[in-house]
Amino acid sequence: MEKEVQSILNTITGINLKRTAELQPALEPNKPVFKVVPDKELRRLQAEAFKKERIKIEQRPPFMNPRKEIDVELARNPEIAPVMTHNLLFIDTSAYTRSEKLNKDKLIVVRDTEGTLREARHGERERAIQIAFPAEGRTMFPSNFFKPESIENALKNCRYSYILDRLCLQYEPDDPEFIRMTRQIYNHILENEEFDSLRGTRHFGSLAFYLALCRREEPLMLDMLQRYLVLDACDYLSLLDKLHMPRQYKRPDYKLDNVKKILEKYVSKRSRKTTEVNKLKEAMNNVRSRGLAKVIEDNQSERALLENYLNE
Amino acid sequence: MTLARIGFDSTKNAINWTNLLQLTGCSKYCQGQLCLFSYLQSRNYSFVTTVSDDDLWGSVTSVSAAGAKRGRAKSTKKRINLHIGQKPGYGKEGLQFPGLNTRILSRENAKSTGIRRAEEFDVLLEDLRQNRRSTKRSQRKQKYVNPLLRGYTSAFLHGTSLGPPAPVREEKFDGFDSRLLQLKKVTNITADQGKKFAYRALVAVGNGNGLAGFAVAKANFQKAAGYKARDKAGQQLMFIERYNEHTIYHDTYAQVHCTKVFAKRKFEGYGVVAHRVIKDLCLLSGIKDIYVKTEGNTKNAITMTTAFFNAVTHQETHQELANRTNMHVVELSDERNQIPVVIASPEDGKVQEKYYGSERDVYDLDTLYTKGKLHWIKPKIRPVWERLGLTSYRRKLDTAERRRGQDEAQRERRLCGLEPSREERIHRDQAGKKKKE
Repeated sequence: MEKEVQSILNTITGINLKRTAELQPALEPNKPVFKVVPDKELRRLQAEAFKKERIKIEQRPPFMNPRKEIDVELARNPEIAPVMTHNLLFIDTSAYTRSEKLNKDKLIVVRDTEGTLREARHGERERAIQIAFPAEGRTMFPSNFFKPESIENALKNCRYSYILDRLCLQYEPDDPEFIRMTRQIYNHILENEEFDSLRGTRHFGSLAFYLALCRREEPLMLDMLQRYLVLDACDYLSLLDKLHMPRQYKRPDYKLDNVKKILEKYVSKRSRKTTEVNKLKEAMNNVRSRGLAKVIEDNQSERALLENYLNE
Repeated sequence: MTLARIGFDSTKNAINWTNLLQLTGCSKYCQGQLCLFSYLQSRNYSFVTTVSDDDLWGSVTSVSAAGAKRGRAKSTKKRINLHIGQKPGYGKEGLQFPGLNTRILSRENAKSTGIRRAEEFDVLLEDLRQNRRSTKRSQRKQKYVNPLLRGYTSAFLHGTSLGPPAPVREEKFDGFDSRLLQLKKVTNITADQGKKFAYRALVAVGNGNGLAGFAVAKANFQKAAGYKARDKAGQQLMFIERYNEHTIYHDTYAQVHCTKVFAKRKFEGYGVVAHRVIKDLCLLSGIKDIYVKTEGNTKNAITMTTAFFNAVTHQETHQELANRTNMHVVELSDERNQIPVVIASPEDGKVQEKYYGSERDVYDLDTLYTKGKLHWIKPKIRPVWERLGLTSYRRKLDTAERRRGQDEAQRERRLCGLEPSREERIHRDQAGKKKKE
């Protein structure tokens, strides 16, 4: 993904330290460390926390198309067939000494019961890599958590970031299962309009990107306007432009007139369903009643604060 | 002495039945005359009635002080309370006489009084007399105490709860509980009576929410000493600061005479790991997670409690520390993903700009107040068979090596559905058994 898109998604996601600072019971608890710090040191600690968060957010799972099955034959030796009782799988485990650091570059080869030597299919590849180079948190076979019933249960309890984290752990980003399940979760969030649960996590960017691609960005826009995140809305609209009309894309200035123009253009375009348009209009009115200039100023000051912490 | 013609008819009957005098050839007239002269003695006074019951019992049971020293008090009879169940002024019928055995009826206390029947009273007396405890040592049963109400050991009183202190004027001591931490028999040697024994009790009182106190008192009986100390402790309560109401603010150390107390703060869920006396003190004051190491004389519970209270009441809260140093107090914990959370800031708002000199290392709360003192940590020694590499241990390691990682792998298999979960396996076993039957 392009850098521009990435930066837009980063700014839209923001950083919500309160959510990460929520109490999570640890398996092996340690007593908290108390530090007595002056102002400068406190700012330094907070800046560190912000930077860590931003690094986490930038580790977004890439948006890929579902992969195609590998079907490459290397040799055909049917005379071996009578001896072969099971498939034999060969994997090169010395990958750390060579340049093949990525999983997809590793050489994994299977000798069938029929005697053919072929490259391993994706399922076999994943299992072999998990044996030789285990990833923490990944199970050999997808656990009962990823079955539809358990996922539905988890969705009911609105544990979106937890499910998405576990999905990223277990599957590769181009796995068709991964894509199917993430789309299902995004659709569920769309229906329930619970965008705030992902704001501040690394999955918000992927959600926004997906909605922009499918042109289903209205609920998200509504949510942003309702929360007076006017600059975020502007950025999101520019992202939409970039995706669908790349030539018309321009990074917008955050001046009062520009913002006004962009938003009103957007609201006036929507003429399909009256209820949704009314909601949008209501949100705009609320924003105007507060004073568009003031709202823009607030947003800008928040962003400036963030930038300060990140650049320290 | 009065002559009472008691039993005239009965003696006549007795003589007739036995045929004694008839056999010896006594005439019927003589038999009648003999009956007239059968008198039974009865006196309304004697020497016995002129002496008090204490003196009477004393004549049977008393042993001199010198004799008691030589152990002669064990072999005498013990006094029995003959007045049991009976009180002067209270009769069998249980009539209430205001002014004699009840208060003169005031407007508040005007209640209808019930009258007991004489038979009930007799049954009660019988019951009391039969069931009074035998004073013979061999027949004294060990009293059984409910395991939930037990103290430190069996039926002894130390470690037990004596309930809340007795109410004083308006103070009802709601929510307070007490613990008898130590009960000792102390002696004093007097000139006339020789050794005089008394019981000394150390009792701590607390409401489990920051208020606690302790006191020592003496009395001639165990429970009496306990109650005295408990009520005294109720007058001497101290407030104990706690962080988040579960632990202390920082590690501390205190020493009284020979007893040293090292107290360390711990995370939630750790529990109170301490000497049993200090465990009770933490329970009463509301500290739920702490590690306390006592060194020196741990038998002296009084010095231990004074040391602990000294340590815990001289804490510096985070707010006080911030005010003193003009710096923020920040918490970094794994529970909050190591994000700095400001707990306390100086109240006047003036915060120091940066660190001066070695201040960065000085303010470590866990060494600041103990001044570097640490309790003695026992070095952990591996067991003999590991150190010497005995054959049986090596054999055990080899068999364990074959199954290494299988516990975690089995857990993963159960998660993925490749192996039946524990409940399913039990269900299948039971189904199989039922089929066999």
